[in-house]
Amino acid sequence: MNFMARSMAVSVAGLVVFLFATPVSAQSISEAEVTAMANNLGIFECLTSVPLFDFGDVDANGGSHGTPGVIPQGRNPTGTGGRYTNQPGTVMWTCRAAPPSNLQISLASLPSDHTVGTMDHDDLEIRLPSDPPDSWTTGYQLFTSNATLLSSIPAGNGPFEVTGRVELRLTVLDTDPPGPNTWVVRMVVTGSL
Amino acid sequence: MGMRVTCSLVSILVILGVASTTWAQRVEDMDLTVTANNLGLFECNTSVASFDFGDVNADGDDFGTPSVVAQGRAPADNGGLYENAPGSVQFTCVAAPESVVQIVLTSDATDHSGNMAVDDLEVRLPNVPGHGGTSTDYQLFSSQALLLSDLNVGNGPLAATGDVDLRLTVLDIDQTGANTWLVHMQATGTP
Repeated sequence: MNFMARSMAVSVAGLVVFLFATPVSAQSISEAEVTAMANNLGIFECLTSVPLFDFGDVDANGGSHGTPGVIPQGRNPTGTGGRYTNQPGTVMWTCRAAPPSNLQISLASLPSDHTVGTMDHDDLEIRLPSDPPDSWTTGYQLFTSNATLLSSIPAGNGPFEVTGRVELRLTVLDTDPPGPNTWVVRMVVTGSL
Repeated sequence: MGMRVTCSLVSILVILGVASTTWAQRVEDMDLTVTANNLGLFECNTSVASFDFGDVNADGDDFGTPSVVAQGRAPADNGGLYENAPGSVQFTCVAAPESVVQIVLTSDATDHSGNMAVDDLEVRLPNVPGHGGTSTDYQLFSSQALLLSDLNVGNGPLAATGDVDLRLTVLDIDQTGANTWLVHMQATGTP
């Protein structure tokens, strides 16, 4: 057998083998696939317990005018005006996050957020104390300070949501003109997973 | 087939897991409105509610009443004269914001009981140190006169305090008996 004849003989043999194999694939297989999709938005929500807190009537001596939830503090230590604070627990904040997140809460109020009145806009101060006290709380911050009020608070959802007090302190300066005033306290909460 | 579906779901989860890292930072606004009505302050008071000249007579004799200065006969020689001791009656005014104050007598004849002349009593508010102001001399009890004007009054250390000077003349013609005068003073302020 010359070379050409031998090559042809191998090819035929291969074909025979292949033809023997094909009867196995005679049983057909069908694949049924379903693609499921979902977009988890997560949860990231912070709220105050009340939308508004009213100090009511106030004066530069920090005198009592019988407003519920308000503690008159008398004159301030520097003798420049009278002070008032809200009763602890009258304003609370609550944050929840899913998945859990570390929170930071900052003041973001501007002078223009003192929307009504002629008092000094920084007569209002805010702090968010922690209970029990620890490193992530700060003291009272001026209304327009853009200061961090709380940092690195772990917050989850359900039983892991986190709640704290909002403490407000108002100083009525001797130089403040009389009349009604309104401050919109803007707090920005950021969370890092 | 079941295994292939499982593999597909795992793949989807992996993809979603990669996508979720884009939410690494979330931001939420939390607003609270706070209101307060500043009443301001405007208050004037006297240091004592009453001052008693005690026993007096038309010779201006001393009967030992504390804080009473017996002056003898009045210069006009129509009766005895008495004054209260400096500082025995004071007034204090506070204002926030600062205000320019004037104080006026507003007593009338009905604010006196007894048989002496209504205007046997006179009142003045001498100048108040450090607060400017223009004081007048003694004014008759029922004169409705201006006692003090242009007084700068603030709060705290800027509160204004001054003396209330009282002068009583017992006329020779005055009937004996007890007398009471209710001195009304009205303070008005302009911020």
